[in-house]
Amino acid sequence: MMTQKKSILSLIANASFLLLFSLWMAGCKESEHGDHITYHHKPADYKAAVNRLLIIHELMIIDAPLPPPKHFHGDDDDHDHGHSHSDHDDDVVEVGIFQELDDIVRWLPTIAADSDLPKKPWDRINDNIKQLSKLTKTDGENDEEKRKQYRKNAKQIADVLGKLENEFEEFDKWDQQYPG
Amino acid sequence: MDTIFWGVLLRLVQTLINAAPWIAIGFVIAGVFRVVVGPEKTRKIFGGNSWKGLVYGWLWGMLLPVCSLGVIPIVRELYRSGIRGGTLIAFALTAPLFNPLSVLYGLTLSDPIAIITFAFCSLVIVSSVGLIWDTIFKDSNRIDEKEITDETVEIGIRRSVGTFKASTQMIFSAAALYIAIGILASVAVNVYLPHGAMAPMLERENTAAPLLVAGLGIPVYSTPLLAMSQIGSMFQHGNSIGAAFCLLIFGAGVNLGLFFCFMRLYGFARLATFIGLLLFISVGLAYLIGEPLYPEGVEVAGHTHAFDMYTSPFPTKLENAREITQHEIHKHWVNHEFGGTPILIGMTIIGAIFFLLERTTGLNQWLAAKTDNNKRMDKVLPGWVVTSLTVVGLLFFSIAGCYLYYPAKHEALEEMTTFNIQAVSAAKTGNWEAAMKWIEFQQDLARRLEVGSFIRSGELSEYHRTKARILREHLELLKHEVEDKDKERAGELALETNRAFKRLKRAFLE
Repeated sequence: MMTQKKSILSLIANASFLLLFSLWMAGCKESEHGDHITYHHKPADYKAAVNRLLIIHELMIIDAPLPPPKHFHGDDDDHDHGHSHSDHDDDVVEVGIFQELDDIVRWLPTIAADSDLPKKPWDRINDNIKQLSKLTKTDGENDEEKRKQYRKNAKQIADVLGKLENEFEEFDKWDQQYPG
Repeated sequence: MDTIFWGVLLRLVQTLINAAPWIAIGFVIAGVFRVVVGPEKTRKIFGGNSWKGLVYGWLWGMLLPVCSLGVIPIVRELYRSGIRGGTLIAFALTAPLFNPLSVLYGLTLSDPIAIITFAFCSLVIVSSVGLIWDTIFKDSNRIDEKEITDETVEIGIRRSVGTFKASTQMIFSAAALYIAIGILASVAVNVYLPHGAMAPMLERENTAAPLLVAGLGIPVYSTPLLAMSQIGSMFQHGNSIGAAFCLLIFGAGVNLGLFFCFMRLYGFARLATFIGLLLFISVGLAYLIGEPLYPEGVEVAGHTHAFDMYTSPFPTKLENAREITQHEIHKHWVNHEFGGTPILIGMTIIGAIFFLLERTTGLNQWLAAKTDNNKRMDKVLPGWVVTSLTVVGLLFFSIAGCYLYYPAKHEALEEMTTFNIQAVSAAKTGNWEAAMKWIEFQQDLARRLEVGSFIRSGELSEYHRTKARILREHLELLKHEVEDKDKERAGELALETNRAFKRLKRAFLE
């Protein structure tokens, strides 16, 4: 009887320990519904994305300083600055030119697929984007080093960007086929 | 207090409905081991007392379709047959983790290599925990084989009745108590965790996320398919991959009921060793694979909904909690109940009837009786034939189950067209509840469309996967606006979702 009682007490004690341990590890408070992160520099469509890449390419190869990082606010106010703000909101995000380049190249296949383009032209675009991704990959310690690496592949990058630009007609064709 | 009560009731009913079919299967399989296979043959098919037991443990675990609750009666039966502790561990962990349905579902993740790595790491965990445990506790096969009672029944109608009797009567054994502990512990966590509490805590940047999920996953119960869909959601939202792995191992793989069963069989010290080994190896692997498996190109969502169903279903205080609970229970029954609950209830009633028959009739004597072999019309098949047929049968049903669950693209797209119309019109007209329902159906079917196409054609191009991902992203954004009841924004996103669906449909049909 004593052994049985001890066994049951042991069972209860162990149960409580396991549960409390788990709950302690979990312990948290109620949370508001989380918002999705908005990327203000994400282009609206394929043409906007490729045109932006062409602009970035020009900025990389000309003999002028690289533009400063763009500041994005929570109120969708996207603008370039040459000065700091002391009264900035906490939710300011800085996007440098290389970050923007990487992001757009990464987003481009999905942006291209979010259209009426069929498989064959998309596969072609996707292959070109993969090539572009390899050519634009840089690992320098600062922007100037990265720019040097970029410039080494500038001609090939220009060729690939040209191919991507040539696909605008495909988008126009399929937009007309499936309007709205 | 009122809200808590209704929240508990809702989560309890949802968990029972989810678990019922797997629990019923678990009792049936345990009955088969006891009456048909018998302890001696059970030890043989699980590799005896050698290291091969681990291999057989996970082979049989992969074949048998049970969850971490349904495995409990089988584990008790295997222990009773004299199977070693390490083999039991290998079996008990593998059975809920490896399931052809859930593995195929997981392959629709943005990077299939992730689920293959998860599967491989799970095998490493199962094998190493079992091996180390057997090395430390060499005497884990505690039962003297001579003391094991053989309750096998003679071939024929007696065997069928005997198997059914054993399966249904086991529902009144300690196995049911452990299953109840597993379910109640999971519900207790739901009560403790406020609504949506885990949403922002499982981000990649939170280095404690895997540890948090490991701790939370122990008392929480999840079916393998549900865990896999939640893992998919975590990949899609750019959450911690280490945490996703821990969700698989601890959420789907174990529960408090299974640990209690283990403790009663082997004692607290051995259970603690098992848990310690499992935590150490699993969490260690989670931290190792987290960064290498992080999907490229995913947009970080900043939160996850993977754990919402393990938190309280209601915010702090709700006026009409009772009505919402009744409605949600009805909805869960309609959408998720496929016969498991009535079958389990039926088995319980029949088990009670068998107990009555035992006391009032000569049932046990009839089952134990031996008949003259010459007078029997039964054909006795060799053991290897029965085993082979069983394995082939299990494989066949697994494959058939996959083809049934993951529809062909034409069938899926037809249903998705209906879901799309319903979701879009509900979102545009502000019918939030209906919109949410149809969006969730559409999200689920979008995933199953990919798998259904893959298993029938053997491939799924990047183009098609991207189209499906775009639709799921639009649905997710729409879901957020529906949750926020922003009619204008929901209307805009509904049109974009509609467009994304039409493009997906064209892509899959061209």
